[in-house]
Amino acid sequence: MKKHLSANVYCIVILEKQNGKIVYAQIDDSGNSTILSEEEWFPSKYIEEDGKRLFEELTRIINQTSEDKYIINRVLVSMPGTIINNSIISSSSRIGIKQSFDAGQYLKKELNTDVYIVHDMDCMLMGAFKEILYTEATLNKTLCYILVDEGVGSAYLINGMIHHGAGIAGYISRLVVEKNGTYLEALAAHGTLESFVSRPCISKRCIERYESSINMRRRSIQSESKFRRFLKAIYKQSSAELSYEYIKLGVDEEDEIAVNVIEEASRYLGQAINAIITILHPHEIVLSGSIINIDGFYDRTLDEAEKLSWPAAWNNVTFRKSENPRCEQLEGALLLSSYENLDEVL
Amino acid sequence: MKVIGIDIGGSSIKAGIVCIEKGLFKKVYSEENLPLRTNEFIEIKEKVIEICNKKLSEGADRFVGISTAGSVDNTGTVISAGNFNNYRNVSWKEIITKEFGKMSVSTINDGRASAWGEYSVSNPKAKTHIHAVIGTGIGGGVIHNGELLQGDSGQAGYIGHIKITADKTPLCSCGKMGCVETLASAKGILAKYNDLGYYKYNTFNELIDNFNMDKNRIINVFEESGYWLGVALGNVMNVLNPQCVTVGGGVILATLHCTNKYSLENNPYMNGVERGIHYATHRRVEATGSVICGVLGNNAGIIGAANLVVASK
Repeated sequence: MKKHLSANVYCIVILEKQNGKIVYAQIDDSGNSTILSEEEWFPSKYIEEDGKRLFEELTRIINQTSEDKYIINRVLVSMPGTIINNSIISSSSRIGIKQSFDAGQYLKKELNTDVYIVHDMDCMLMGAFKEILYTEATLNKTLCYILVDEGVGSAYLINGMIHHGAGIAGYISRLVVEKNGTYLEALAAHGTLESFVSRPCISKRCIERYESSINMRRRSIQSESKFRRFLKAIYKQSSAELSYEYIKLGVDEEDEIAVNVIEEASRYLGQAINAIITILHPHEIVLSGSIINIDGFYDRTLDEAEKLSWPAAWNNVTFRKSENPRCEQLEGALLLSSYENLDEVL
Repeated sequence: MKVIGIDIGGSSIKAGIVCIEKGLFKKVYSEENLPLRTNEFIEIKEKVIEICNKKLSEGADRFVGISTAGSVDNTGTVISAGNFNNYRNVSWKEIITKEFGKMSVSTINDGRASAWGEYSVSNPKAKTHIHAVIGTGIGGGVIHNGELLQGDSGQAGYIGHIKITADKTPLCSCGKMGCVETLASAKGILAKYNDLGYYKYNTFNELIDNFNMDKNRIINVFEESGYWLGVALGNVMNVLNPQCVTVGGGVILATLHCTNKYSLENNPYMNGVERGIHYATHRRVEATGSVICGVLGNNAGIIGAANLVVASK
């Protein structure tokens, strides 16, 4: 039996390469949401360079679910990447989409419903600040959300509106923090913030440092630690990486390589935060992502940022750590879905 | 309306009467540029009162827009101007109304005043506009959705204090090292050139006056300094993705003038800026924003400050 239209069922797709989620929720006229069902989705085998097969599979899943249970009022896909006009995916290195694809138009046509492709940072931003949106707390204020995880990104609320600039504001991954730094192909640049603080790049730096220490025949006093044993096991495998858990382990075991790489990361993130404070002087900055939760990283990053910032600006910025970015992403996506005219908000 | 516009810079005070009709800038006249002999606040105060007196007697209306070096909070109080002694916690509104009676006075940081001037005159449709002013220091402002972005307590847009290098640099006016201001402002250019060891000058103006003595080296220094500004602007562009970035101030005018390049093409400082932006900015961000020289020259500050005091009445 089909649900009554006024029940407003919305489909939120949290799109990640390894493990995403498809959530169906009802949103009432006051904007309150009730989750009806959710399912994990593992899309990696459908990912090709142009993304079409991925969205064909997504269409099949949504059609199947809605035919049996719901009338979908709107679909919102929350994902990383360069998104244009909330419809076209220009590219998404984290997902693996390298060619431009108008996913919004495709899904609209196939699902015959309203569709928005929204940057995951925008959703996290809205979710993190949803308690104070439309209150005096956001008037004439700038609020900032920074994610440090598989990639690095940021999003801003300025006077209560998400800031996009000419379309793709928030690319702090591309900030040049070290002029002679490593070249990162994905960003076509040297010494970018991402090359120091994202999980894949931290992993790469740890492995390179280990390899360098082997080549210098330096005797490691920590050869028995679990982290060091794992490094030894993987360093010759070209595609092997350190997961967040292993990086955290290395820091917890006070492994010299892990500690040094993470200290560097906190220094450069502090530099990036200084740039944001200097440019925007936000009222509040939320730091989020797995790397932020590594022991000591958050405090060290703020220390570095404070060293660089001038007191008049620093003293008026509040910081907090995000509790759960994925939860914030879903809450923000639900909140955005509840707007009648999403184009005005985005 | 005839508004008194005053721009307190690092080494001089510019002033003029700014004609504004129906909210639009028309022209500036009765312009003057008064060099500062000292870096004492008392001299600045005397000159500002002298200027107001003169402009009022020339028929200006009782509106004063002040653009000033230093940081200014949301109430218009100058918190501090690092280059001057005793120029802290100053309310120009109090000083001027005490001297002249009821006047409308607005005070704003010089970078923001210039940003507002350039935006309102040449680019009022841009959703996000960034302006950088290169003078004794580096200032700037961010205009977002038709408003100057102030930040939580008025500290947004101080582009000169973006850290672009971890290397040791001269100490900045903010008390820290690594700021783009130490490398790309008039002071930074002068220091860099003097460090080369060929000739030594005491002021940026002296360097410019003697441009032909060591043209090629000075051009290289302009370009390198411009490059560092470009890297800092690249950071700003990555964060905000503005539709337009303008660059103005005394250093730009000086490099245009002494190299006889009255256009952007082959101007060494702006070449450096473009190179730095290209290096530091995401390709798509670079493609969606234009970077140009400001059009108001040395009057950007007084025009911006005058526009703002009219807008705030």
